[in-house]
Amino acid sequence: MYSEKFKQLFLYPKYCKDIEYTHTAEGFYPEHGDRVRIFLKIENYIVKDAAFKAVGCPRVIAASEAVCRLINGKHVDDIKSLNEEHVRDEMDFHDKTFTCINTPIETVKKAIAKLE
Amino acid sequence: MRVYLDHAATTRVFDEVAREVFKLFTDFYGNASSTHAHGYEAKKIYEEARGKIAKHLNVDPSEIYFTSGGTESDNIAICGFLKANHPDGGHLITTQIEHPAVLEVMRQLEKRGYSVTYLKPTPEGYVTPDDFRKAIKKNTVLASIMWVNNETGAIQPIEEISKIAREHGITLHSDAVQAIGKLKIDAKLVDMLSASGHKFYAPKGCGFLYVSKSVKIEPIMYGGGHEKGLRSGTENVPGAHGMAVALDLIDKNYTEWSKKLERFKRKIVEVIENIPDHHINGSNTIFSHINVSFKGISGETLATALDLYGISVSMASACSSHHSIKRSHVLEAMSLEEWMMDGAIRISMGYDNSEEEIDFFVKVLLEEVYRLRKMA
Repeated sequence: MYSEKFKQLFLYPKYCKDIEYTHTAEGFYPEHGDRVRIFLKIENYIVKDAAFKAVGCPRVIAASEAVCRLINGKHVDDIKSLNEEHVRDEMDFHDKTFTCINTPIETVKKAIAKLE
Repeated sequence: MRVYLDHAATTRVFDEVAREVFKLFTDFYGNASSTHAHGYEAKKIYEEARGKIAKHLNVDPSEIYFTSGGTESDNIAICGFLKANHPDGGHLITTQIEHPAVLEVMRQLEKRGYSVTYLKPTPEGYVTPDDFRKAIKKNTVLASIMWVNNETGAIQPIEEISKIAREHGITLHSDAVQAIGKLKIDAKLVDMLSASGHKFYAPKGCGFLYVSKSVKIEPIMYGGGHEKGLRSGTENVPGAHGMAVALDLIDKNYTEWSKKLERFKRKIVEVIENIPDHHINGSNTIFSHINVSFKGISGETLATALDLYGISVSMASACSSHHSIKRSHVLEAMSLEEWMMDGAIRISMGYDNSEEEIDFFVKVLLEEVYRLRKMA
């Protein structure tokens, strides 16, 4: 059973959209066939807008939305410390055996790595 | 709205069955083996149930044995038959698409020295009589071929297989758990047949096994010698009565109910046919089942989305925790493409579904398939 928070992220994502982005990256979780693309519009090291596209399990889709919600408006230095726990809390999903939710986290970090 | 479309997993007990069963818990609660009035009245109900079930199957009441369900019936049929007739080994034929209640028994028997041929289905989900014939060896003693596959709903060619088995003197068992209450079947085509009450609107924890009088069989567990010694354990009178009442209701309403489900199935399939890149898994399927995959969407994701709208269907494959996808052995055996296996959902309708529920389901299905595809 998924939580109400999870339901909102999975069924009604706000960040699954097309944006004019400055940075992007793609991440995979091949064991489950998951693919996540993250798009960021970054100005002066601030995430002005974020978006994602995802194919995969419900957890990866919800985690992608959760990641976008968490990083929008943040300084890239803050994003570097984003971790699984933050995303689990945002999703209200606490089964730690599902490590696939790391895919969008890693993808965002890959996207901002290009800034350095 | 909550819509239950997972009747292949289990069914809601009919109201009339629930009312009847309740009476047995509170009014006719005697032990059917007891020699007093409470016992006699329970025994009477129990034997009447046996008679009704036998009539439904067109067999003799003495050929019906009550069990706890499909798994127990399958185990008794296969192991009990071998124990009585071929304790030292032999060749068995089954299919790659059986329920674990048969497959796991076969795997255990292999460890005990029996040899087993697992027939591969066609990509359409059924085994062929030709393949069955080719698998027969001089020492083939038993075949266990399911009547209807639980995942795809594909109806297996039991009539043709029965003819071949009889020509070769092979005893034929069928796991008919998904067929009873849905198909009008002639149980005499097989020598043994398994059924489970909760798949046809009776309670969980009850089932039966048909064993033809011509088949010698021994018990696989021992106790008080109930069911002519084949299945010891206090008689489940409420379960037996519940199954008889449920089958009686189905018989009385079969024409109307089966037509209704055929209509619902056509309606759902018409909607699916208009969605690009889909695949209906299995053909010659029973009116209650639709197994379908949509390219680019995992079955788990679609089933979860439907669930969050209150619609229960089941998925064939799912990400398990850590690093693996647990795939359906049935769809794998059919050699389907990866997206078909990973994308499959099973929609299984029941006699208690309404037109309104089906309309709601197809509306949400359509919206979610398009929404999830847009996310890719």
